[in-house]
Amino acid sequence: MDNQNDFEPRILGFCCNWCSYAGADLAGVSRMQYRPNVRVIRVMCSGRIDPAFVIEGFLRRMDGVMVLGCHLGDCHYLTGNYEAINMINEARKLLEYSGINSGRLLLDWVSASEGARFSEVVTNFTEEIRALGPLGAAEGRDFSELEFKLRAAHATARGEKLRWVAAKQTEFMTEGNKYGEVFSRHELNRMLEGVIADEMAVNEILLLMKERPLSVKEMAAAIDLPPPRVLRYVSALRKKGLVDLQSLDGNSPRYAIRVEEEVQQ
Amino acid sequence: MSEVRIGVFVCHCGSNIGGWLDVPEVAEYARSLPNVVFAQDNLYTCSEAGLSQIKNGIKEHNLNRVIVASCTPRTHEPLFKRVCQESGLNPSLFEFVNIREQCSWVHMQQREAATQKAKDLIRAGAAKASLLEPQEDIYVDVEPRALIIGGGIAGLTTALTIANVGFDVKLVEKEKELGGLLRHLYKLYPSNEEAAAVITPRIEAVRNHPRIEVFNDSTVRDVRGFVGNYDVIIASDGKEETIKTGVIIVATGAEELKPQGLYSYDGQKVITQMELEQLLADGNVSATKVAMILCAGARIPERTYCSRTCCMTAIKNAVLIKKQSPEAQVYILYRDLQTYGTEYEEYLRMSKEMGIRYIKYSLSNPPTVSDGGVKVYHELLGRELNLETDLVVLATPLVPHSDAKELAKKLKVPLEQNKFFLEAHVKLRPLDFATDGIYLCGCASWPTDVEQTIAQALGAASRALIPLTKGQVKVEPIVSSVDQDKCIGCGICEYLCPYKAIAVFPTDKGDRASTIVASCKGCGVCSSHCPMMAITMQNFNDDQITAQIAALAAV
Repeated sequence: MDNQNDFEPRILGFCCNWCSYAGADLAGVSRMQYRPNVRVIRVMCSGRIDPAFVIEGFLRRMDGVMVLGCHLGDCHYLTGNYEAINMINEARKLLEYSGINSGRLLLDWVSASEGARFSEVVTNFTEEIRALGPLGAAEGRDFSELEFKLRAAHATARGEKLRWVAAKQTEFMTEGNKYGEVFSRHELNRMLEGVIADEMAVNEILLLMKERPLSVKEMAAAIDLPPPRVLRYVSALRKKGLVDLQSLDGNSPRYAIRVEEEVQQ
Repeated sequence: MSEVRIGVFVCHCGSNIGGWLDVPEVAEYARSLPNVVFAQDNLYTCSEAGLSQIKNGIKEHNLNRVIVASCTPRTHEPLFKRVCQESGLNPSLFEFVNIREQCSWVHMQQREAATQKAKDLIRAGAAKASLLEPQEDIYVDVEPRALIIGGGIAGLTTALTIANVGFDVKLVEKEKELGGLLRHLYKLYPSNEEAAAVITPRIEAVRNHPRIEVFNDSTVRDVRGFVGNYDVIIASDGKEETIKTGVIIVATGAEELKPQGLYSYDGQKVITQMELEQLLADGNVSATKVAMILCAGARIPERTYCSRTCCMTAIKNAVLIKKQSPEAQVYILYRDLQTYGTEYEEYLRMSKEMGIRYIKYSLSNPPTVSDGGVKVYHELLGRELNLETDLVVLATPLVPHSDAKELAKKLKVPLEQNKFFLEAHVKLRPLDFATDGIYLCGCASWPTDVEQTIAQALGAASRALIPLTKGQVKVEPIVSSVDQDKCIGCGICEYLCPYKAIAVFPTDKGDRASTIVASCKGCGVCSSHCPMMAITMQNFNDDQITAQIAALAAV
């Protein structure tokens, strides 16, 4: 790109009140100079960051998202930053499924006394994002293409199914599930990935049908999945009462999102 | 809810902000934002004049949200919230935008970009402010007890001060005896009174005080809770005991650096100032040719700070040697001398009149110690001197205890880069930690001499007495709340909450979670993990954060 050097990345930052935000303040008190690309939102704890916030940032065309918490073991809320690891891990997988370079998402630790480290982390991340280019450049895709995937990812992040698995990770890794089975990080990752693959597909199907009624074949072509798999998702959606058979296009049935009727009592 | 009317006050902070970005332009821009009905720039928003401008703004423009764009919320937020409250505005409807620490001070050479960033941050602030909701104040009772960690002069002073007001004090000391560093000192500068005369009566007073309980040979095993309601687990003699306390004071002090490997230190012919104190106390100084090397192991790349107490200690000990044997030759080899204030400078002058010689050396050309002599390049004379000596004394800095990090972790308070405890703000809150209800004083935060330590200890005690005497503290209404219609009672929040501040209770709709507001510290992990998205984190809720993201992204 000709104007690669003119590209100023837009970066969204989340800092926890107790460590990284204080570290950012200390960088200021020490007059450490860094690039003005990051815009910070203060939260009380990095564990507050919902993966949906990260996706929201990219949906709004941020080129990078940075989450900074306390160092492990130093969390003001004891274990909040361990939960941040789980949440950001999930967000990273959602980005990968959306075709976005997950290097655009950073999770790192800065203590209240590390003003220099804050400015270093910001500087390095800004340069990494600058090298990747605007959102879509490193991905080799148009934003409109990414946007569709990101909308599905956003719905997935806010969906009950993925949230269950994500929220249970700590319990499953320490005490195990209700049968006492303890899972490894690797097993949980596979579980998460399975849920994300399903939920992303379901949400993409729902997004497509929001536009207009479609046949399974049309949907399969649009989201690049085998038709039998799409049919499976559509059947499940029909069973849940979210999708109805709308019309027939020759022999192929067309499906549409069910319009909620007023419930009469 | 009625119409949102936001007022934005953009601070110049003298030239701290105004010198590096265009404040009037930022205020002008703020006026154009949705829901903003009033914006102005102030020279110092935190000054009397600035605060009355906020009050007038609220009155004249009927504001129901206030934004101050200035420094960090970590220091001035309580002040501005109070002003809102005084003007009849619920303090939760105040929003802070940081354009100093995180903007003007870090983008000094980029005026345009810094101005743009300030605008963006205010736009996000206004987006959040539009969605703020008034919150009720929450009060929690304070356990009427103070726990003090460290039984040196700092800890003893805070213990006596608080106990004399009438509160129970638990004093935890890791060593067998109380007294800390002062037990090892002979006489104190500048008055030359004996350290024992200062410390012994205080130890006695603490031992005999009916309200003070001392735990010798004891350490802090764990700390739980929050301001007003801490549970501190003390380990002594292999036994553990849980103490309920309203406040905690860290008075753990520091220790003298043992200069292993420095200037041929051997503890015999080359000793530290602390070892010299012991010899002086025993009347055992026979040396007549003494060289003292200042900044031994201090103000070097791996330990950059000035320990502040060692110059005066060295001068005082040199004077004491001179007084014992006036014919003795005493040289002080220094890089810079810290004898600030009136009395210390006077003491230095007196020492020179007594015949103590001062020799300036540099970091790049330090003295060398060999058997029977010290070679030093005199920076001011511009030549090397060979001093004949029979005793070399190294003034080494005070360093933090090696277990400071462990204690900091238990208390959830930060250390600075040299591993001393880090206060909430170097000027505005020097004796507080950022965590409410925990205070610090003495050498735990920085090398201080006895006079400063006592002043700090009295200060920390009075800070700690504020919640103790009030009996109640107001906690920030940053707490979660559960939508009982969305909640399914799964208990994930209860499992994850580090404070057991949210739990599932049976209701007539079935099991439902609800928040125990007094215990909630506002981290928001429950909210980001709730599968049903039933938990709202007040002041940091999903809608507010999403609005901030959208506003930041808007071009």
